[in-house]
Amino acid sequence: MEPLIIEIKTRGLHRYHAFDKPELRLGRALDNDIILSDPTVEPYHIKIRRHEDGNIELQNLAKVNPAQFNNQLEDEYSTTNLPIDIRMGRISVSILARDHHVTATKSLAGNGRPDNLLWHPLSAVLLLSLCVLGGGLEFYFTSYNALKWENLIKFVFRESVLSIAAFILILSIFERLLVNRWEIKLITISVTLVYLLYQLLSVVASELMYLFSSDLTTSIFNLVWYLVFIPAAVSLYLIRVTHLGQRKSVLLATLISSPFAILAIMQNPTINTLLDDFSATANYQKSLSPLNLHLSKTISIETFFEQAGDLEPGEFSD
Amino acid sequence: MKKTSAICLVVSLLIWFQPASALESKEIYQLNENSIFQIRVLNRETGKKSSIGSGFIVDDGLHIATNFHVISKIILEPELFYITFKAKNGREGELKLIAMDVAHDLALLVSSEHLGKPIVTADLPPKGAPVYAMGNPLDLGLSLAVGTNGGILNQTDDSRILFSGSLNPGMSGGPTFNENGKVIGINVATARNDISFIVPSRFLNELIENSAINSFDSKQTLADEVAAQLLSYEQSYIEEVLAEDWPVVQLRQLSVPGTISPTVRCWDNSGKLKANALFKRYQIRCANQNHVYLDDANKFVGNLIYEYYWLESDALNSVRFYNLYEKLNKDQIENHLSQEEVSNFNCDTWFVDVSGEEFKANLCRREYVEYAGLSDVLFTAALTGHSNQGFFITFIMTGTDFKATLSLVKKFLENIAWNP
Repeated sequence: MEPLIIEIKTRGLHRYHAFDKPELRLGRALDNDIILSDPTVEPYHIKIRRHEDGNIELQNLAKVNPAQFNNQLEDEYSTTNLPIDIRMGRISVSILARDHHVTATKSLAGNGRPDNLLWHPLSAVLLLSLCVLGGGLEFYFTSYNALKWENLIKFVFRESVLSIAAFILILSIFERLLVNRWEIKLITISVTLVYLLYQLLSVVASELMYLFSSDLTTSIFNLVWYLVFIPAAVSLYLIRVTHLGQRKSVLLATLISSPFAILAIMQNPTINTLLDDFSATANYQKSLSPLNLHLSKTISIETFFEQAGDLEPGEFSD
Repeated sequence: MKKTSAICLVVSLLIWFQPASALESKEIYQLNENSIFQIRVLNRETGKKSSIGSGFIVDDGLHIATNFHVISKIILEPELFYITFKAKNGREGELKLIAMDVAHDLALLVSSEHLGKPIVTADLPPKGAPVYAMGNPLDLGLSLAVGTNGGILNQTDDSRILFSGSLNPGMSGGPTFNENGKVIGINVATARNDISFIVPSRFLNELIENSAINSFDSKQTLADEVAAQLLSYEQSYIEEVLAEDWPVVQLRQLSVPGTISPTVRCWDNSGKLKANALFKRYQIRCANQNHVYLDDANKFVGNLIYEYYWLESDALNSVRFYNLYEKLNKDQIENHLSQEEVSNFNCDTWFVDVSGEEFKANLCRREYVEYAGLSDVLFTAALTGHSNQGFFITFIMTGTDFKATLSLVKKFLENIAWNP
């Protein structure tokens, strides 16, 4: 008799058992042929019988959480077609033919080559160091008093180390829950890359705000960042590193990024204005730049007076 | 016979020209207690008092003078609230608003029945002379507060007398007497212990005179009338400020307008920096004192505030300096009005050449929901193009006429000079 394969699905790596016996019993009791330790599985949950003509007969033995065969809740189920999907409590099992098609092999990040610099463990260390350096530079450029090392260390610890560590931890927990793996190195590299990119683009967005004399540039930057870039980056990570399916990855990435996206939308002054949200404060253009590059022409007081006279009051809220 | 007649004439003249003898406070109280009432604004639905103040009989015995802020509840909700008086003897009756002077916080009410003996007004006595304020403090009954005349305050656009005595809530709208028992003003506000303010009686006389000529236009609401009066007052106020020669103040490399009106007071507002600060800052804040009561929600309008902020550093590089400069550039109009009261701000940005230097200027404007045409204006301008010197101006006017305010902003900018 040609052996069949019993696939027991778990988070992470599935379990496979080949069986060529005419009869097989699955359940939690230790005298079963295949033992499933999940508490929602009955001691004797199902019995599988194979016939010479290729027919497979499935029998439900469970009173609690009775088994489902190809999504049908029946005490007896018989078929010759494979695969057969079986649900026992919260455990999913499939009966597969030996020649069942397996998907193409996914390559490791960096094609699994140890000489790939980006995914090398040293890259994680280097990128983390760059983030710490970035935090230090941020402290330097935003402090206006004589430098104190203790303040610098506190700032870098709070703004860089803690926030990056929090992201790494949260994403690692997600990964552990999703695929039962723990890719600290890859997560660290990904998070630090995103962090550094954000630092860089924030500066560019700030200069663009001054260039166009408009908050719209930072509003667009924030929206694109949280609504497009972050979900895209997480999706990419889930597809390329975690090797989840594309649809599932996009869905999960959207879910993971949604709190940030919602916050970005709620705090976006441009969207608030469009939604006619009331603000008692004046949202005027406060940006200033040492480069002093702006597209607006410098006008005389007289011209300013003429143009300013056309300024209408803001909208009344409903 | 001729000699006797001459003596009689001289005696008569002496009696005629003899100055009125000063009355004691208890006499002033007794003479006027029946002409001073508690003024109440009642809710038609509950029949209970919503606000109280004081008022007194003027003109022909049918009219009562009080403060605008005492009866201002009826402006926005005339169908819900109504005004009544209550006399010392318990007599009560309904009153109708016939005239108001919002800028000076006065209102003139009329009764359908004769109320009693009107109180006569008089000019202000010399500074330091005793004066007596009467009213109904805290709904506790009529009382008299003794104080002295501190004179007209020019920082309030001559619309307030300083009364060195205690006014308490509920006394607003009551009369303040001179030693002869004549009204020199109307109680209006208190700042703290024994620092109180009186509206000069001349504004009341003008209101009574004008009320005979002008009456409310029945087509417009009371709120429209309030807005029209405030706009007119602000336009005149700004015209007066524009007509002044503005003194200049030297602030590092800039000459800037100083005290642009007698109503304005300027203060150094620089504050103490940390010992390890790598920059220096100098701040001047100027503000007027003639605030105008509008209503419960909007409180006071008519503010004119302008601030100068100079920032410099030899120790910070240009990136660090501009991060600091941008961080400090955040002035706002400090009130917390809701969407029920005002519109959103609309702002625009320009780069303006002021005395050969470039400034990034922002102008923001919002309008009051109930008072058409009345605007809050915020103007800011920040010096650009200097790697380690920064300067910004904030100019704020509340409850004002937008166009008139712009003229003030224009003159303001024209009076700034850069001294290299």
